[in-house]
Amino acid sequence: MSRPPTTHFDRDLAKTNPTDLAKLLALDPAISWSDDDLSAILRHQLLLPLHVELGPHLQGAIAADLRQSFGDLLTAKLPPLPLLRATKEFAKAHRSDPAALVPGDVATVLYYAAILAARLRWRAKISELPLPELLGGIEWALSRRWLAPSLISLFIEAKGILGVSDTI
Amino acid sequence: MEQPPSGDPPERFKTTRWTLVSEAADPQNPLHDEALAHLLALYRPALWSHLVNRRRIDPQKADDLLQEFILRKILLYNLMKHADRARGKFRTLLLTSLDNFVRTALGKHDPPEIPDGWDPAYRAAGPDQEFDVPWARQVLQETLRRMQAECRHSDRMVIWDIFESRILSPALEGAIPLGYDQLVARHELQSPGQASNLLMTSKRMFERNLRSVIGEYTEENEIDDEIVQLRQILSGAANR
Repeated sequence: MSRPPTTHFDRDLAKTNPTDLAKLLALDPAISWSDDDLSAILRHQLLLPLHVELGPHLQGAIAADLRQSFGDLLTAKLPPLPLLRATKEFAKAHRSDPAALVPGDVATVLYYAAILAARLRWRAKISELPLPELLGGIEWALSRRWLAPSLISLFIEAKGILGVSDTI
Repeated sequence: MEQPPSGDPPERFKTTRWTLVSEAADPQNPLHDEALAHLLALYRPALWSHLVNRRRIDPQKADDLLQEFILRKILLYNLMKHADRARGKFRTLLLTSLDNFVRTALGKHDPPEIPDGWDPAYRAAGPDQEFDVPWARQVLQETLRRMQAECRHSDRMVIWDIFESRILSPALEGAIPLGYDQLVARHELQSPGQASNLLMTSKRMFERNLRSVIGEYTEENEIDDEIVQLRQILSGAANR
């Protein structure tokens, strides 16, 4: 990691608006990212090799598969099912934890994407989510302005198929 | 509003919580001088502001009075020794003592009334606001100074840089927070998790330093309340 430019705390807070100073005392542990940030974060996450987040060893997966990226996995024609399950579990752990390192909304997109890829490519249900909830998740994801283009087609395809029949 | 003369506060030392006041109260304590200097550096700007802005005392005169107060009441009388945590806040003791001292020094006359034409904001100010707001500023100034020093000494200026670009500058100057893409490029971050981790670390470091500063003049179990109070003081002060 490169060293950032050296900074010196030379601000004199004596002239700072007190209400601005009060913001510092809010001590909100949550991190707020803008839509542009979320877009960049999802893009970055999709480029990450699976082993970075899922670990170098995963039962039922071969090492070569773990070197592919999240984006490659979720858009593959036949993505290994154990990896989709692991991705779903990884995302699930992050989506509701305020202290999680992957933003909740980005994790939620990954969560639904893994479930849908399993349904569409393997006709496998790797989640107990009822169909209305799954469809709601698809609508939610498609309404994200920052949803990655590479995933939009997956969500649209799933919406078209699952919206008509739950047989797959 | 008159601003107090600024000066670099002394480097902090290991002690935390009310021990600073105790050490400053005991001339036999090996840390006495350091503790006293530290406390004075923290409180002096707020006391000065109280004299000048609330009591309308000429800045030069306020300097002299404050100097004399420190000499007579703090050093000779050992005011710190009379600080009883069960009887209220240390800063209230300081402020009351200063007011009494000044009243006596000025010939037992009450400070002059605020004349027409004076900044009306001061009329609305609570009795201690001219002390409390500078005090809250000083707490934050010291917190940020320590945090930056910690980052520098531990060779983790990346944490300071992220805190400054994502939290500090946006809060204080309305700057647009540095975008995720820029953060990744500037610090060669490998994953969103790494960025979030650094950002959370910076927030935790700020809070830890804030608690450390506050813990030097208040009881540990009162730190949360003090943070809330400081926030209320600043929020209610408008742009002053």
